[in-house]
Amino acid sequence: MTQQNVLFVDDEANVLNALRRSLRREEFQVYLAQGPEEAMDLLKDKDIDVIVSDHMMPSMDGLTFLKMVKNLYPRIVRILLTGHADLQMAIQAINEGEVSRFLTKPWNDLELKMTLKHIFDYIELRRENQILLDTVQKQQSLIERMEEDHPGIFKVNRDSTGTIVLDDPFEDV
Amino acid sequence: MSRCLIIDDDTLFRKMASDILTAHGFLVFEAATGQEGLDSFSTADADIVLLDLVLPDISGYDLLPKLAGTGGTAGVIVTTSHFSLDSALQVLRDGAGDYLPKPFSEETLLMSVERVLKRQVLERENRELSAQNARAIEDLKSSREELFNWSRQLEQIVDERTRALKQVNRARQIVCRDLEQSHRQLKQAQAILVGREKMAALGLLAAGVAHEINNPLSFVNANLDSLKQYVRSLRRLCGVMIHAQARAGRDRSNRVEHILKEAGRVIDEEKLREVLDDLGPLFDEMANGLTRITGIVEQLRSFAEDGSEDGSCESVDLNAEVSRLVDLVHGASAEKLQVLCRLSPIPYVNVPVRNLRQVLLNLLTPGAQETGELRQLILRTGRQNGHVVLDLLDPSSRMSEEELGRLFEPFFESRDDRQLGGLGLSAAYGLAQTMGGSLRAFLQPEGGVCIQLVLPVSETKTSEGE
Repeated sequence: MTQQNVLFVDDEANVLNALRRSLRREEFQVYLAQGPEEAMDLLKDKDIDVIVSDHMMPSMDGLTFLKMVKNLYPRIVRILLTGHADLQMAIQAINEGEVSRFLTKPWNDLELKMTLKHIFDYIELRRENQILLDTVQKQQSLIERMEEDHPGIFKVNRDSTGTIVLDDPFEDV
Repeated sequence: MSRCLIIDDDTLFRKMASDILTAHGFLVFEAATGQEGLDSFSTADADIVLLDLVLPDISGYDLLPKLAGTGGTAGVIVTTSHFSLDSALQVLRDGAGDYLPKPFSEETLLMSVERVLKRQVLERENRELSAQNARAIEDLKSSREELFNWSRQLEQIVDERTRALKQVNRARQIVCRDLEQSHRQLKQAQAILVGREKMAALGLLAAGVAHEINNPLSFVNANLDSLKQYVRSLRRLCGVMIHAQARAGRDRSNRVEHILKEAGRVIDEEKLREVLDDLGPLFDEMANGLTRITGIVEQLRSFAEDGSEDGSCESVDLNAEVSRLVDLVHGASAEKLQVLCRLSPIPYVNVPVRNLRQVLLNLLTPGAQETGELRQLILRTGRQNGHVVLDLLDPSSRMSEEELGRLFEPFFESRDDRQLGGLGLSAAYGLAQTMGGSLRAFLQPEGGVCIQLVLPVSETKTSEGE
């Protein structure tokens, strides 16, 4: 299992500290950014898997920020964590595919951890799936190459009783 | 000319009396018998009759009632040769004007005639008067009747009018009741509207408050969970120490080393160094969050308070209040905010002092917000249109006209971060109005913003300036 990274974005340092404390014993790495600008800088350097962002921030609201993230890093899973529990906004945000989860403040530690755990499981599955897919593709190309070099190498002949018939290699000789 | 009838059978007496009376201007008629006298009386229309009691056909006694009775206009003088008191009384009772025993002198006759005539005139006048009187009485009666009728009619009219008035009055009462009812309904409607307005403000407030409180609440909450974890780790360490101490009692040589080894293991496992380092900030941040929540609740309370409970007005020295508050603010946030005072001599203001302090504090609080730079504000007092005004000038504010219009809305935040939400200014706005003053904001021609508080003047004292 590879190192998993989550980035929290909130204009309030106290909230970030509280989140860091809550997750300090989890296996994943926690990054903190006090605003979208700082978050963008971090995204350039770190391989972030999940972003959890506040909505009401002075420079840019969370939804707009996550939309930007979606365009630049489409594989990052996006979560909105907001104290402004507006159902309409939540529905819109999820339906338009800007975020995959919607969490409210004050958050429940257990719920937050479970949510992140599920998401990391999903990411891990996605990663394994990708690895498997890569393996299958590699093997497929190997088979194709061997077929090219030795035509009929993967061909099996059977007679009417189902017995495998091997060509006599010395037939031509 | 008076007319006189002489009824006497004595020719000589008739001649003598006739001569006397004619000489005195009378028109004289003569009758020798009773029957003749009666006939002549009706034709002669005599004013006065000389009647002899002894006549050949009818007795003077019998004749007298007919003469005195018929018409009753003539005065009858009875003459007799046989004087007696009884006969005198009888003839006088039967209506004779006088009683003359024969013979009588010329003067006696004339005087008697005169007397009877005079009496006759009097009687006539009397009759006329009584007739007039009767007529008058009759008139009076009819007048009374008329009056009575009139009065009945009047009563009737008055009754009708009264009835009509009563009806009108009843109608008015109904209208009045209707009016009272609609007034009550209007009042109820107004109360509902006011309530609705309050609910709307409360809704707006609640949404804002929910957001303002949520952030601190959420991190205090999360930190509390973390603190629980920290305590659990620390308890584990303590448990190890207590256990090790109990065991080490029997095996003294290994005691210190053993405890240290056990403790070290727990410290590493629980990352206790990290925990200890974090305890300080953790408590600080939780305290910060709770203070913020308390502040919001406090603001909310002063916002909800209409100020009327402690709203008794008193004479307050605005300059002194401003100076005191500015000192307080400087003490608390000198590195963030500098307030210059320009206080002029002004009258005392007539307001509840607690409300005034609240308003002043709310005006200055946004200025003390963290903006990363030193802010300069100017407080200026003065007089304007018979009121006392306090101007709070922020020369470096870049708020737009549109933003200024929303300045007194709860939790309004300006784009230049100088006005950072909260309930302060909206609460101050409400308080200023309950104090009988007002609060407004406008752009300064030379740039920046002025928030102006207008307060009612107290009559009694004047405040010194600086």
